[in-house]
Amino acid sequence: MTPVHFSFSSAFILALMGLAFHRTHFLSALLCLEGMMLSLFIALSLWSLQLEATTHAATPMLLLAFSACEASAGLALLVATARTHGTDRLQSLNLLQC
Amino acid sequence: MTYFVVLFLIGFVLGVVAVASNPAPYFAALGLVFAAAGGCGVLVGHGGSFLSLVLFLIYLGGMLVVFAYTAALAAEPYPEAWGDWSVLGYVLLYMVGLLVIGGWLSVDWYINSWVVIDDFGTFSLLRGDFSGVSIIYSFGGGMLIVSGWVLLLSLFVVLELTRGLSRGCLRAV
Repeated sequence: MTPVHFSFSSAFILALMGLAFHRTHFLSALLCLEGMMLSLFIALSLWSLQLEATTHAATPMLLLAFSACEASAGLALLVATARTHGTDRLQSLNLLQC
Repeated sequence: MTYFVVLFLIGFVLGVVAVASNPAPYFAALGLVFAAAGGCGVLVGHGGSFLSLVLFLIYLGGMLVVFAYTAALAAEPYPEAWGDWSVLGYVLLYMVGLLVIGGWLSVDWYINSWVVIDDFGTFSLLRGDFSGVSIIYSFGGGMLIVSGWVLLLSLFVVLELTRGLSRGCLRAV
């Protein structure tokens, strides 16, 4: 595994662990999701650049477009959570708790 | 050039560590800015200056600005930065994990593992990355229409999610 490959793979796994071990705020979990998307963008761009596959240069742009949709949906859920529960803290999402 | 790429790679990974350790969202957005800046530096070092520009413009200038002012919804009187013991525990855990796995993998790295492949043979006006992106407008026309349609649909998704007046989602009553 080359060092560049290790760096974006470890960035993805770190952001995934940050999403899995979320602590208090919903927004910090969404930011970890954005970190995963950033590492995927870097990975796809470096794939196109290092292998000199110029037609693959469009893939990170399309990834960015779809990730903008995902981020907007996540933020709309955050706003809806803050509107109903008053805060975005994850402890307040406890309606299904027995 | 290789030295810059190494520094930007380290900055990228440390920025993602700063986000993944889950401090207060103000500081996590700052860590994401540093991670994106490091990632842009890596891409520029590899010759992809257009993709780096797109990342800065759309990701930092569009998406992260929206996250930054949504952080007003996550305001608390004593935000936890990376000095708090609860966050610092996660930072140390991730740094130790990175050093262990990096140390295990680095036995195969030699001085030329870090060297950047870039096209220095000719000084051309056409670089690989933006020449490739322009394929979207010719052979990738269908994907252009699909992504435009998806963006329009996500606008309506956001409108439906935040409709309110007991017709939206996540109602507690």
